[in-house]
Amino acid sequence: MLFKTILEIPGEPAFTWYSLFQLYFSLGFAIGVVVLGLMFYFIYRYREDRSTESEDIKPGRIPTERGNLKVILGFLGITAIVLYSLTIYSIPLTSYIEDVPEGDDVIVIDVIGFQWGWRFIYPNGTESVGEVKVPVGKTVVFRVTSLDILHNFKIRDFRTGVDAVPGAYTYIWISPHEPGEYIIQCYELCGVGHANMVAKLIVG
Amino acid sequence: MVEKPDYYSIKHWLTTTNHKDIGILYLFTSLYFLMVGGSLALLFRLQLAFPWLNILDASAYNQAVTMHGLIMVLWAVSPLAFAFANYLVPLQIGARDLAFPRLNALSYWLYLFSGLLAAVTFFIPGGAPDVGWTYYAPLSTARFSPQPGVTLAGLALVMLIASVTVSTINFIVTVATMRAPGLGWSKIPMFTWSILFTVLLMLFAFSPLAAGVLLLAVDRVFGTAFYTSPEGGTFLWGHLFWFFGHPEVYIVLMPALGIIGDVIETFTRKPLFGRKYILLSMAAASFISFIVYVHHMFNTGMHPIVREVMSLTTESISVPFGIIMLSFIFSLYKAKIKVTTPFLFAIGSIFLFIIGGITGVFNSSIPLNHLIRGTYWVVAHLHYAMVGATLFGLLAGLYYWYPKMTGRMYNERLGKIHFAIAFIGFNVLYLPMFIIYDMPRRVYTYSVPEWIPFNQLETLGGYIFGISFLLLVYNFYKSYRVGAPAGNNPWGGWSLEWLTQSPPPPHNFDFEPVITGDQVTLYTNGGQPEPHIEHMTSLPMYLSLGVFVTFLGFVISTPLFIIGVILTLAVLAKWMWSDVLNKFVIPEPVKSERWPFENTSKLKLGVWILVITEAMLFAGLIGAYSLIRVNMMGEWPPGPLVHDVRLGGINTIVLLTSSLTVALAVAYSKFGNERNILLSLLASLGLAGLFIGIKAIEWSELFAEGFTLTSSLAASTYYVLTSVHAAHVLGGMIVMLYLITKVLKGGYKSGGYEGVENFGIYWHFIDIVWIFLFALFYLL
Amino acid sequence: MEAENIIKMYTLIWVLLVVFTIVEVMMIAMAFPPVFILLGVIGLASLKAVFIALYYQHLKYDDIAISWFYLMALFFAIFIVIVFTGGSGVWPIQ
Repeated sequence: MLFKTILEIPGEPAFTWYSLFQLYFSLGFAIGVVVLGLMFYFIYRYREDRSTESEDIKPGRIPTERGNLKVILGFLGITAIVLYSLTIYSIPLTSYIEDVPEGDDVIVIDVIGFQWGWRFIYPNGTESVGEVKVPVGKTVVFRVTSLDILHNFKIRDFRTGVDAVPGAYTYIWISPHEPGEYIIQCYELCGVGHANMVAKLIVG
Repeated sequence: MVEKPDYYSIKHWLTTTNHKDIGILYLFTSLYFLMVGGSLALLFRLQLAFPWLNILDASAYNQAVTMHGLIMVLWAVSPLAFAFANYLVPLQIGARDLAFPRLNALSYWLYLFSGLLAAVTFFIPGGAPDVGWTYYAPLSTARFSPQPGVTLAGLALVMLIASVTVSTINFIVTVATMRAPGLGWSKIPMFTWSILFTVLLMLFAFSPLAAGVLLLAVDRVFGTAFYTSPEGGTFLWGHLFWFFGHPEVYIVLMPALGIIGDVIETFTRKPLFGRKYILLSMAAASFISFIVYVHHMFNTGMHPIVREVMSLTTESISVPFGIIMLSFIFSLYKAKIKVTTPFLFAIGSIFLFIIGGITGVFNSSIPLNHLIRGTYWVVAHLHYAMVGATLFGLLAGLYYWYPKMTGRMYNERLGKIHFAIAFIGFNVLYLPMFIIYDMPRRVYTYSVPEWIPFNQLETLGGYIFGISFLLLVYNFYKSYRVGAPAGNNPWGGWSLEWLTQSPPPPHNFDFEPVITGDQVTLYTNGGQPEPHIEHMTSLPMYLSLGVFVTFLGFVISTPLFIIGVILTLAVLAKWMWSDVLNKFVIPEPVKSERWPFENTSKLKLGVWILVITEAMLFAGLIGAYSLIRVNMMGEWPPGPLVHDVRLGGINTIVLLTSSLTVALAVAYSKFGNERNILLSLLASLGLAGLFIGIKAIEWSELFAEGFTLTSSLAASTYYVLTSVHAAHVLGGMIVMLYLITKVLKGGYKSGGYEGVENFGIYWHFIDIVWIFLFALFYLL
Repeated sequence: MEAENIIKMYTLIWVLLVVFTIVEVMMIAMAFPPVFILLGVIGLASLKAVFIALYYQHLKYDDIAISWFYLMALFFAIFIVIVFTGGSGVWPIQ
């Protein structure tokens, strides 16, 4: 669903993700409404039967230039400012989400994607397929790789995911606050079993 | 001259080289593929409406999704734009035809047969490719997808790339050198400009894809490991594919923007707001589109600096598009707007593009990408951009130019109803995808109950959208028979296509358009139309058929393959022979506006554009080389340890010497010294043969040492790159034989030895490539 | 230019190209540091390419716009090599 109430969010990095998403969404929505509103107003206002303007397009006559540089620079300035401030704003968030947390209380779980399932290896060496249990209130790092082809390891309720690349490790982390069962799913087409390449994340 | 067959006869359509006929052929073919791709979409939309349904099982669903993507992007939407480009670009610039009409026919036939080749995969064992239209490796390699359909569709892609390359050459040369006198760059209509940007994007984007597909084909057929090697393989395909894949979005979009520009200008009755700046923005966007593609790989854990830079460039590409859209909207300010069907479609296109554009900005954010990669957010965004903006823009063009193409008016009311239904259907189809944006793409079933009603809504919208096209078909069919005559200029447009009859005569204009200042003057040549040279030839069709049979046979049956090769070679020989006899000559346009190519002939510019596409092919291959080598680190043996540097050096000097003799042939051709031209060409031919011979010795020695095609990635890379180069040398040798024959036959007596000079450009390029390959493989 | 002068020029450039090639091969035979060899070999190869492009393909005497196309392709080629190598795998490389 488009938005979730704060109670429905099970932990980090989903809080951060939603805050950024909502920023993009509200800005985008506002800009879209203004721009499209302007467009519809112009169409309404300058329709043939209302407009008193002259017709300047004539067969065999190359149209003259219209508009001026100042307005265009205005367009450029507005779009550039909006876009680049968003970029700059999200740089620290990028490293927050991407940097792998370290420390004694961080649990590192190995994840191996294969056609078609997920295998988990806990720090103590025990393995499980299709299900992973993590405690509430701790930070968990998933060290993800793939046995065969490119998969995408996604925990959608935590708003995070990363590609499972054969022959290499990629990392994501979650820090769950709410006990419960969440879905882990492959988000990159990987053959006939793709739709059912699901695992369970059990918090608690 | 041969007698022309009747316009409605099959023979006419199989042999025509007239740009308007080819445009019509493109139009019908692309609409056919649009229908195929659309039907596939309706099929899997039905499956998704009820997740427990089993009309499509997982494999069939993946096939449908893959073919829907491939067909829509490559064989439907972009060619639909080229239907208009073929029909209108020569008209808009006041030319009689495209620069190379026979090659234009070849483009079309290669396109048609490549599409059929892709479609044939449904009917061979193992079915159509089911790996997604992005063909991600290693899923697309033989180990994970052994079915022949994947190879066959890849070969279809190669054929399409050939078609696109030929079109690219044709359109760049046409717009650059064949504009009506006085029609400077600033006076060209928006649509022609947009096609110019499109073909420039194609020029640089498609060849690296050819490199990627080539490596995939070698992997699948000969068992090399470019894409199956751990880690590197995944990245190699990602880079090669998306370097093409991202500009492709703009290749698809640009023509629609051009059409919107023309339509808005005509129906607001005012010049575009900031036309110059729109064009500058289009140029900027075209350039930036090449340096953003890594945003398709934000989730791969690639080096953060590469991703941050590409995140920034991706944000940047929204700036020029922001300017373009705002300028279009401000063009409505103080205008006198006539609300017609094309205008409605253009406005609809802008509306949907703004939604597609704003939602696209989300994709440029690396943190947001952690969720939205591979979700319906991406599906919705890309369809708003590629279907909404592009298809609605192209439909605006279809309604706008329908009177010009047929000479009759369509039913305006039906057109508006079509717009309303299509627009509503489209939004019912794609807007809900933004609401359930965390649903994964390309799944045939799902287990989240909240997603079901939205999916059902989407399916409903899909069917509304699909069925709305029946109105278009009915409207156009009916109007073609009983519509009111449209006259030359039903909309009061300013550009040149509206000054001639509807439909235009084969030679386009009964007069000479000349532009002085902002005024078009029509000069009549004493009532006599300018003689128009038109040739009917079936060679392009047979050549494409030959390639089709070759590729099909290569995958499914050896005898068919042999038949195909014989057919292809025979047609090529016939084509060359007809050129030796100068059967098809179009005089250089004398009075055309051609800055900045005043001193470059059409053919020479064409050869140069070909060299640029070849340069991009080798750029892709050398990019692959550097990626593989960096990934292998210490495991790649330094060149001198593997290769005989001295023999390689001698071979380099052999090729350099052949360049000298070709240069001498060109020099002698300037002075018309026929004996020396022949001698130099023969020497070059001999040296080229020697080069290939030494290469064969080197290869056999390497093979004896155990350095074989599949022995290591370093070996595979060496053999593939050097054999692509060697294939170019062999191609050059065939051209040399052709030149020698033509000189002997006296084919150059009248025209100066243009062919020799143009061949020189190509041959020296092959030499330059070798210089780098020698350095990269032997010396480093 | 006179016919003889053109032929002289072409031959002279050929001599240069051959000399450069021999220098390249000799550099390998001598034990220079790898970075030196890398830069030297790529530099000499580029120099050879420039000579061929300017004189044999006579870019020098043609419409300048053709060189723009060539430079554009060169830019994209360099871009491809840099991004492909920079983004050749997962970071940090394991």
